[in-house]
Amino acid sequence: MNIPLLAALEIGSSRTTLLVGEPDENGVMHVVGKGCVPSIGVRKGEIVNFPNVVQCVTQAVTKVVAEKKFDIGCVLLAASGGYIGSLTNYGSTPIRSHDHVVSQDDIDEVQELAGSVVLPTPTLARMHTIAQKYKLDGQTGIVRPEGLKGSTLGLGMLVIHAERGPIENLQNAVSAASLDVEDVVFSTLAASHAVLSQEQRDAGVAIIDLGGGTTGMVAFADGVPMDAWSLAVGGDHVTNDISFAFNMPTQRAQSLKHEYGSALPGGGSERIAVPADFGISDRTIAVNALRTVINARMDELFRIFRDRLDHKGLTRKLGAGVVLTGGGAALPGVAELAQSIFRVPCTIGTLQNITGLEEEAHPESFAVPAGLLIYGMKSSHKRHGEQGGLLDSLRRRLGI
Amino acid sequence: MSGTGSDILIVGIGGAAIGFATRAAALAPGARLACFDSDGASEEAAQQSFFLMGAARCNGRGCGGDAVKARAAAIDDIAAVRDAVSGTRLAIVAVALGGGFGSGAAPEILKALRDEGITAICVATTPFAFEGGDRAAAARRALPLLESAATATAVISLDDLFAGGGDAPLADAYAAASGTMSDVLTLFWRLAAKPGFITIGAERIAAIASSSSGKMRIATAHATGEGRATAAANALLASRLTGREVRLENAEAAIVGVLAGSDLRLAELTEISTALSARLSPTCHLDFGVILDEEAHDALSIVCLLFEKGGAAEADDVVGGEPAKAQGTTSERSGRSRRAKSCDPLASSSSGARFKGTEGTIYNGQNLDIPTYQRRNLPLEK
Repeated sequence: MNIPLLAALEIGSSRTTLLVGEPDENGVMHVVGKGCVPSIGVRKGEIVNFPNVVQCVTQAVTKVVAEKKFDIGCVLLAASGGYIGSLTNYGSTPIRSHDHVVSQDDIDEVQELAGSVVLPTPTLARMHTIAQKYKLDGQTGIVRPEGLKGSTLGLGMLVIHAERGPIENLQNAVSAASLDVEDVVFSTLAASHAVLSQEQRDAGVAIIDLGGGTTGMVAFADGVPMDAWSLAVGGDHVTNDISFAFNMPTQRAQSLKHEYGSALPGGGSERIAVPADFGISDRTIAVNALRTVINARMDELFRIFRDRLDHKGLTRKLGAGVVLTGGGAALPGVAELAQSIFRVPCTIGTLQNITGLEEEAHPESFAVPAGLLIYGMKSSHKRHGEQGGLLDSLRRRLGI
Repeated sequence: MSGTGSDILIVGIGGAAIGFATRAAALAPGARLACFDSDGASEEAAQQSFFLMGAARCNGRGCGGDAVKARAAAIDDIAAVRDAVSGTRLAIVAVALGGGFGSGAAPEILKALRDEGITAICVATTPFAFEGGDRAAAARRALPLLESAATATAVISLDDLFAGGGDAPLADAYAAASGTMSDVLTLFWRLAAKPGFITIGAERIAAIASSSSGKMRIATAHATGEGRATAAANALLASRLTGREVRLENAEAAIVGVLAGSDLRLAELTEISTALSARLSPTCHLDFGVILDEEAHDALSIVCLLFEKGGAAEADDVVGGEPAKAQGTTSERSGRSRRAKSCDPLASSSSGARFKGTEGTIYNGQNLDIPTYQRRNLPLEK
């Protein structure tokens, strides 16, 4: 067989997901294998119990292998956590030719200059270096500057960086589960490949991935990523707040969140009967109180990201609004709350150009691994001529 | 929860605490025990439950009171700790602070428990006053590390474990203090492990401890004969638990377990519940458990775990005061730790909560791991 399969792994704080996808010639990714297991040993995106995480990865792989008989040897890995941030570095170079026409040498030089950023601390490693738009003298937003005339060529480069330790821990956990890591991708950047169209990117859009232990964001303007950030606050914090407010185990808090939770306050006089368990007698909880707790957390979270976008001068550039993904996007009222805070249209992301996940109750919660598959496919197309193709490499490693 | 206590582990760290733990386990048939020390001499007490730490570093002869060496010894053999505690849901950890191994190794061992997802309730003793400033200082240095690693910590002064007068022989004082500490551990284990008429259980204790501020007190009281319920309740109320400065009103959650024989009467439970409820804050969540223990004969015991509001308690001294027929013991956290966990949202951290053990998510000076509604002081409809 010669099927170009890709495997994507997300070790989330609440769920470990492995997807295997098969791209077709039209650029559509068909998910042909899925293994999901609850994560144990991950808090706020970081591994706190290595053997448990290895076990989770192994179980996810086993599920896929048992179901589809794939031989998975290599994965694209998503990473998210408070240890991930970004910075933009600008480089510029004078146009050296006598006729002042931009040449490939000028482009190579400015790319090298913009990309040669020294990260703030030696513990940081770069995950992605993404070229933004070129600037030629006073003209901005240039996509391809070759052939244009000017005196100085500039380029902004978004560098997404992460602490080495947590990333290496993730890689080591995957290796311990007998898998190779093809690439490590910032999870929200991966999700953006699954839910954002080029039109949205061009118009300006922020994707916010509401994960279990972390929330990530990538903001696009003029078609390119302008900012990327991750905060170690997620759905687990909502659950923890409920648990704390009503003095109940987290599992009970989790089920209350799913059954009665809303990001919007309210609930009238409705009360929830909480059955006796673990020695606690029957009691009731006001829905209003439950939603007050959830609303406070989500309101705070969105305001933090809005402040970040405001600070970067990006809020006014979000012509296509904010797109929400991840498990937290399933919370009722979350888009309405986000819209009231960001003051731009906010929607729940829908998977684009991906099949095989239609039956899921909340497909947007698979945005990260699904986006990883698309990312892998695009990387493969990009590299195909240069390095013999990522897919070929993956195919070899997948043993198919 | 299994109901057999198989997922509950009594842990002793260091020579003195191993003594407490082994005596407690002996009084709790079926209890799992794990003891850790760098001194091979402790093996005699703990037998097959003993794990020698840092043999390559200390040669089984102990760490000579060097807490740094003890910490290194624990790190050397932390894998053995993880293996020993495997399958545990709730660990009741005894530590005697002031010496070498307990002070140095306990934080590392508690961290290992935490990393294994185990709820660790730490009961730590501080030295007798006569033991001098160095040992007291060693205990003070170790305490914050202990508290940051454990799910909840109770601190008991050895002086307070022995309620006798200053004329008592030293050996008697040690024996009495040790006996009382073991008694506290045993009752705690029974409360968590024994299926009861009204069960509390390990999971419930773990849930409350995990959602608490990490501040905890543990108290026990016993009485026998006629009027035993009132006597035991009064012992609890008159002891350090409700002494001059320590206020029951500060508890945001209380777990009260009554252990008695099959002759326990409903009226006795009502007496105890009424007496305690009258002193607890109206907002305090009270879990009341009853364990019928055939070995209790005509004795009635109360074990009380108080989880305090963050920053609510003041520094205070433990004071005694037990009725003639009844004995009561309480523990508390040190004043230093209370100050460290004040109302300041940044300082109080989320210790004890779901994110305990992970680095706090700090943003604009706020610890985002602390519930937002709390930091915003939002009232919740009852």
